[in-house]
Amino acid sequence: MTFNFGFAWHILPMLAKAAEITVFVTVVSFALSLVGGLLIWWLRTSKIALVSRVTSGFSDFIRGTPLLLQVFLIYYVGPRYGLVLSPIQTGLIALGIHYSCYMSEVYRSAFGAVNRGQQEAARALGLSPWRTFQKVILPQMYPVVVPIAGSYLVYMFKDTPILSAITVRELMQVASQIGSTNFRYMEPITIVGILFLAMSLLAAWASRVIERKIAVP
Amino acid sequence: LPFFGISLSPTIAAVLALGLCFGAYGAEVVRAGMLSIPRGQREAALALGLKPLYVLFFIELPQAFVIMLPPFANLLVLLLKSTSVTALITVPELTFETSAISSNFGVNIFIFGYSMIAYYAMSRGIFAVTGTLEHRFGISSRLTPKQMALEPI
Repeated sequence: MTFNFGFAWHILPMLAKAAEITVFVTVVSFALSLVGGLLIWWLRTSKIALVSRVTSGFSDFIRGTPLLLQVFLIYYVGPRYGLVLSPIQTGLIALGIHYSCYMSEVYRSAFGAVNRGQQEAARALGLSPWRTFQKVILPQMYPVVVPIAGSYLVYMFKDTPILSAITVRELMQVASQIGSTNFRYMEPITIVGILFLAMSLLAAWASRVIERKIAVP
Repeated sequence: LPFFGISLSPTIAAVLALGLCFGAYGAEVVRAGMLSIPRGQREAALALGLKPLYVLFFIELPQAFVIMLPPFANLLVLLLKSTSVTALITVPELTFETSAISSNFGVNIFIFGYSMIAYYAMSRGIFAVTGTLEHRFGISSRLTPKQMALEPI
């Protein structure tokens, strides 16, 4: 069994197409989790004890259970309760919710890293709570959030193969299909590995560049 | 791999893959832990005439161990959750059995609910144990954001 470059070249277009889906799923669910994380964090800091309790319990539960199981739950149990989603929608929602809970923790720690006096000073100067958050607190949270969000982006990217279990046609799914139809697993899996490595290095590099851009001097 | 004449059972393959992958993450944690020990500790110990290996095992590692506890707890929970992926290569573990049962007896939210609760209980258990260890060894500081997110690459 040797690496057949002709065959590798032959299957490259199929894998490139699958890579598009992988990237699409990653980017969309990353955007979802950035917003969702903010929402969960906001609910957790709610003044109503019940709301914050329930949200933090939910967040802990999601972070304590595997993504694959959550994907199965939404995909197989959802239709019983009238929640019919295509595989890719399921994937987006599951990944989005899963990483929202992680992102909410990131926001929380970033908020904790901002000096409390900043908020008090801004409020004392007569800024409204929303303006305080938007103009004073948030810009100071970026340096903490960005590197961690960048590493979560890579994690999400590496979690997309889980969606192959519910027949999303992403890289891993297509690679194993090619493997089983041609009885050659060597080339597709190797190419997928290289693609994943390249793309996660790219994402890590991008996150480092942004990190340097927004660094507080 | 079977093409190279190496046939592994699903379970062995899963253990190997997870072990190697998380071993790499673990190495990062250990590295960060060792780097956080001031150089002076090692230099002082060597200056006192202790053997290098002795310094490593009795001076540096005990200090690094305490620092490495919280990230290792996170890593362990991550590993616990990652074992569910091995269901895809038919390792008969919790997630695999869950989907098997639900395909045999009809899809039911309770089947999934039970196994999710089982996973949750296990991850709580891990945090409980490491939490006690942390108290035992005298650090109760909160995790810094850097420790919270393990570098993926």
